[in-house]
Amino acid sequence: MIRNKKKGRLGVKPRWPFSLDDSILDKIVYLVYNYFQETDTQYIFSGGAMTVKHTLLALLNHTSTHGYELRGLMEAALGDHWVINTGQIYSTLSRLERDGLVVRQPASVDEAAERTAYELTQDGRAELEHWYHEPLSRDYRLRDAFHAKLMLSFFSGPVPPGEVLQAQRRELLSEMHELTSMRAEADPARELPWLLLLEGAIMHLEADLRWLDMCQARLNELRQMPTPRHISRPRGRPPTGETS
Amino acid sequence: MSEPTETMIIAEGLTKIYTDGTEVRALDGVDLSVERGEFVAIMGPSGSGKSTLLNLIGTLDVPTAGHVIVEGVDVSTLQGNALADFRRAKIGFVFQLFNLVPILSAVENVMLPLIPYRRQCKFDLEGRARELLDAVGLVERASHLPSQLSGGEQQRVAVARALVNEPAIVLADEPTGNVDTRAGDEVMELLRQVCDDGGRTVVVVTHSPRVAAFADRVYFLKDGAIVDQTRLGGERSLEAVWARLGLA
Repeated sequence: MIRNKKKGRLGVKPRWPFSLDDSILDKIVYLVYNYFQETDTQYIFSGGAMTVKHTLLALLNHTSTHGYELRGLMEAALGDHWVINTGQIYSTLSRLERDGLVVRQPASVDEAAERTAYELTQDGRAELEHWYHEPLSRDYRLRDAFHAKLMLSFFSGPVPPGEVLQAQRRELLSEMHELTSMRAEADPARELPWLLLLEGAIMHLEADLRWLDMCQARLNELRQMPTPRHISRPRGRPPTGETS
Repeated sequence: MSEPTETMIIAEGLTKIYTDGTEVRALDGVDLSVERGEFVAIMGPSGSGKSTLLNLIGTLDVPTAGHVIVEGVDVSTLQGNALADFRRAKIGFVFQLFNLVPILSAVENVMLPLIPYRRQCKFDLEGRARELLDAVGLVERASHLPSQLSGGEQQRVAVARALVNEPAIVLADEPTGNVDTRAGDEVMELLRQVCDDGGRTVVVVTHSPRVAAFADRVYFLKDGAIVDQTRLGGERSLEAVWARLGLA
């Protein structure tokens, strides 16, 4: 499994709010907490926040089932780097039910809470369709810190901008090397979602590296830009007597 | 019997000046070394001297000054048959434009480097060529002509051809330059296997970071000189990658 590989290579496990095997008490605390939070639990980063809510709607559209199995389905659909704890699933399901997006199926043989199966309502399906049609936008703030560093190096030294660029280039290439070997280890038959995620990261690094090449090619032009200077502006009220 | 040296390739003060009318200093005192079994990329923009450097390492061209030392032997001094023997024994080439012979089938192209020597071969040349085509996933295309193969397939045939003499060193000049991204990755993954599983030393010249990222070490070439080198990967980069993926 991927997770073992990750743990093996990095030695740490991704951090989530709760351990995967929550105690009942933890689940209750989490349920209550989330119920009053009134926000969708967001578990994703760039490219727009992704919510547990829509994930569950999408999975329930595939098949009506109970909370425990939804977690397994999510892993199967997205890869096991998305794993969330069951507490989040239960709390989200109860909010979806309250909002009329899902309903409990008629009591099944096993009546334990974890075994309650849910199905999508008409409204739930409409909400899901709306979500699919809504494009996501990615934010590009990622490299701003480096952009600032590069511009400052023109301004102040003591490290030449070319060296600043090269240090960044080395790092990005090195990360790309790791991603490239992770991609080679991924099994295209079973882990295609994960493989495509890695591919996306590789292509973003490629773009960043091309941008570094572009900066490199224009280093001389940048050097010829006038050095920025602080122009002090008088503060406060103009001194009396100077007004005509 | 001497122990094989750990350093496979050494370039010392390698200089190449072309003098057709005006003097062009394509390479200007390049020093580099490649370890046995290492995968090295030489990166630089076009016109930086990458191909010239690779041709000098592969003895396809003669330096104006400096030396190329392969396994302790100064190959810059080799001439005639000695040079051809060295190349045939030690080096496999992969070119940007594949350089397959259009009237020969895939398997014949793979056999080609050794066809003049097939009587001396102590093995079944065609059998080996088919095994290599199998290794690059093209055994069922063995009798196809290059024109009947896609760009990516042609380059994989070229990789098989580069291996037919079981060279210690494989040199590749922009091996993905004429194929699409995915086929290019396949070619690079093959070269990675040639290094990892075959224990061969691989040197690739490229302008592409995507290609260079397959290597263990990168030399940066600019205006005919090495300006930097770096070893790729490692724990720190791995952690940065996890952070990038949002999983750290």
